[in-house]
Order: sequence, then structure tokens, then C-alpha cells
Amino acid sequence: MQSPWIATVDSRELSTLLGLGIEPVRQVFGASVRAISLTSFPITTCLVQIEMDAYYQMLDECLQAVHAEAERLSANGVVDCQLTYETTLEGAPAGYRLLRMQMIGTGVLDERNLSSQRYVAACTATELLGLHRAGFQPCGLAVGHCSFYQVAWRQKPKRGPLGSWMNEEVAELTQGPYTAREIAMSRMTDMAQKCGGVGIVAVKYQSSVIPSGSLVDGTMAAVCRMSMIGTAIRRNPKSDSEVSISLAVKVN
Amino acid sequence: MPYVQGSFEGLPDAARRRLTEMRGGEGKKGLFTSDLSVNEFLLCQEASFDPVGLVMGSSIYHIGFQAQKFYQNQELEVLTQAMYEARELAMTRMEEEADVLGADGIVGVRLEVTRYEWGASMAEFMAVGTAIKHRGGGNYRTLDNRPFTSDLSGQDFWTLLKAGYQPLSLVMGTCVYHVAHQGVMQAMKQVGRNIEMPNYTQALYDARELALSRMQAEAEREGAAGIVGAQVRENSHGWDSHVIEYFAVGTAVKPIPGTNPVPEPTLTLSLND
Repeated sequence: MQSPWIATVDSRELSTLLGLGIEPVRQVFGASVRAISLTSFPITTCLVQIEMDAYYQMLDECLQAVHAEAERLSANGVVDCQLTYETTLEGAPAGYRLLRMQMIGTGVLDERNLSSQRYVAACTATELLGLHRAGFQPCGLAVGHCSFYQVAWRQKPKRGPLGSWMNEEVAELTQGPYTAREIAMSRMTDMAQKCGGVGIVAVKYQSSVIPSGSLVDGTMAAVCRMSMIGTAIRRNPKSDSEVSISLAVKVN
Repeated sequence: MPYVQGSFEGLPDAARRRLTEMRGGEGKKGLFTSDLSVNEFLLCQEASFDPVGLVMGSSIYHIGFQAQKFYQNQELEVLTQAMYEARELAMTRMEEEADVLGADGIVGVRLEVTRYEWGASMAEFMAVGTAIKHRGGGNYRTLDNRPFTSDLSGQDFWTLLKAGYQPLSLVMGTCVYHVAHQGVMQAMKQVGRNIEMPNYTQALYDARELALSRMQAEAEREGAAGIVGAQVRENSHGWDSHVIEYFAVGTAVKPIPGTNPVPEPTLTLSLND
């Protein structure tokens, strides 16, 4: 007897998938947990390489697990893929920090995917429908992450006693999130280009600035983190359909 | 830092390099990024606009101090100025990024303010949106040749164009206001009575009016016919409970000459709840 399929999608999304000729097979899952040592930060601005390396290793592990599960199920695509990432001290051994990453989606049999390559997409079924109608197809997840240690705000004696009472931009600290974003975005676009994407849609990002290191002599330091995820898309050469849109009033 | 056409002063070198690469050329293939949902992306495409990149600008800003008169309603100009200037810095950097990409405008602009527990006097201001370019080379830039900015979603942007209007600029007005404390005698008089608190009512009116009039003045400077999607938000940003910010924001629009009248909408029954 054939086993029942399990999907993360709801009934409306399911009907959309079936209408597109995409059959859900089973939920697929990948997870990775790592402990990294609490870095003693240097006195200069730099990448938090230990965390960056760990993030990308975890991402690789999660993607490999998702692909392996999809492979076992003979699925040629994964849709509605959600990625969660968190760092915590809770449950970590002394002197370490825990990093947790989890990837969950629905493995599908997509009759429109004629390439030998399996895709992983963060798109929902409705979004896939829109993409297919417009002549696009998902080709992979695009993820970018950066942890950047920014040393900032060296107190300058010339600012005078009332200096800190004035409105002013903290230029060095502004540079931290900027750099983190640039690196995360570059990595995300690199990943999209590697899987043959012409663009990335529905990018979601998460950023944080957390003080760290020494506050001696008016020097301030912060770890700036930026994570981005989107779906890389490419044109479907076989599609000749065009989207037709008209104004409509929805009656709830 | 006001916007200067062609100036990329606010952008770090890495950002300039990445954005230039995203444009493609010199044997390299261009690639766009976008935080538009798939539906928004398709609607922009249908309206002959292609997304060219996710653009952002940010500023971590030290907000100065201003003494408040305890029993008096008053605008806190130093704080108002800080909120204006920091948002302007973030917006200008975002516009510069759009300029590098050769965009005609930015849609879905969000202005976010984050306060950090570790820096009571500091806030991070971030402007983010998706830069888009008209496929037919239409001129959608503003009068001073800057890319238009708009907080409209892809759906609202498409509908606006179909209605014969084009966005000009994200306009905003802000006012940080100190609401006067009540005197002891006044508080005693009110014990056990239903009564209006005139100092509070007046403060809210004044602050909202100032914010709205500033937003309107910005729209007039842009030569707009109106403002759509206007919202007035009340924020406290972790200040004293008697200090509030009224922030008015919307998209200034102007009619597109020679456009057809709005088509009659179709009635649909949604399967959604």
C-alpha cells in the first residue's frame, strides 16, 4: 500500500500545487546544531570568521539533509522551504555558544522541472503559480549571512564636554551594519548566480547589533549580524504564457 | 546630508562595487535582488517595471538632549531634528544605491527605527526598498532627477499607475512633543470626576498638526497633486512617558498626462476567510 504523503502546505495551497502539476510527496527536514567558543575579540574591526564558517557549514549540512531526504522520496523539488537560525547561550557548555539551524519544506514531484537539477525554494504554491504564469521558475535558495565585529566610537577629546549632548551620527558604528549587509548580500547573490538565477525574489532579512568586547577608553564595539534569504529564479524557456491582470473587487 | 545627483558619498566602497556588478556589463551577467513578494514582482513586471535591486540605507545616530519644561506642552526641537536628520541620512543613502543601479524609483520603502538597550541615546535608522526601472525608458524620476521613492506595495503601485497617477516621493513630517505634567492642585480637583485632560488633548492635536503640515509642505515642494497611503504613527522610542513622536508618512503622487480612465473593477468572490 502506498504511504500517505505529508505536506506543510494547507488545503488551498495543495489545490494550487496539484493544479500546477506539482504533487507533494513528503515533508523534508534538515537541522544542524553547533557549539562555537566565545571568541575573544581583537581591538580591530574584522569578520567574526568562526561564526561565519559555522553558519555556512550548518547551511551546507541542512541543505544536504534536505536534498538527501528529497532524493530518497524521488522528489525533484522542495517548496515552501523555511530556514530558522538562532544563537543562544542556553544549554551551551561553559565558554561556548550554541548555533541552531533548521530547514523545513515540502518535497514535491514537479512535472514542469525538466532539468536534472532539484530545486529548493522558499516560495509557496501560490507564488509558484504566479512565477510559472509569468514564465519564471525557481532554481534554488539564495542565502547570505555575515557576522561583523565593528570597533567604533573612539571618544575624541576635541568634542568638548557637551559633545555627547548633541545630535550627531555615529559614523563608525553605522559602518558595521553596512559592511555586514554588503557581505551578506554579496554571498546571497553569489549563491543565486551559482544555481543559474537571473534574480532573487521575496528576500527576507534579519539584522542585529549587539555590543561586545571592551568599553575601555570610550571605545565601543559591536557584533553586527545580517542574514538574508530569498528564492533565486530563472526564465523558463518553454513557457510562452503571459500574466493577465485586471482590477477586481474582493467580496469578503 | 542632502541628496546630490550623482554623488555616492554616503556609500561604502564595497556597496558601490557590489551594486555596479549587479548592473552587469563587461562580460558579467546582471542579477537583481528584491524583497518584493512574488505577486508584487509580477505586478511590477506587468506595469513594465523591472526590479533592479534591494536597496538600503542606514545610520546609527546619537540623539542629543533637550531640557523639558515640566508643566508646559512644547515641541522638543532637538529631538525632532534628530529624527528628521537620521531618517534623511538613511533615505539619501538608499537613493544613492538606487542611483548606482540606474533605477527610476524605489517601491515598498520601509523606514525602521531600532533602539538598543545598550545605547540609550542611540538609535539605528534604516530605509529599505526595491529599486525598479521602467522597461520602456519612461521618465519616472522626480523634478530634481532623483529616483522616486514610495512606501506603496507592489499591488498599490500597480493600482496607482492604472488609476493614472505616478509616485513622486515618500514624504514625511515628524514632531517630537513633550506633554505637560499636571500640577498637584489640578490633579486634586479632578479626583473622582469624569473630566477631559485638556493638556493631553491639546498636545496630541498640536503634535499631529505639526507632523501633518510638515508632510504636506514636503509634498507641495515636490509639486504633488496629493498624498496617498498617508499614515500618522505615534511612537515613544523608549523616551520618557510624556515624550511622544508623531510621524506622518505617505507617498506624494502626480497625474500621468494622457492616461486612460480607470477601468471598471471586476467583482470577485474570494475563497479566503
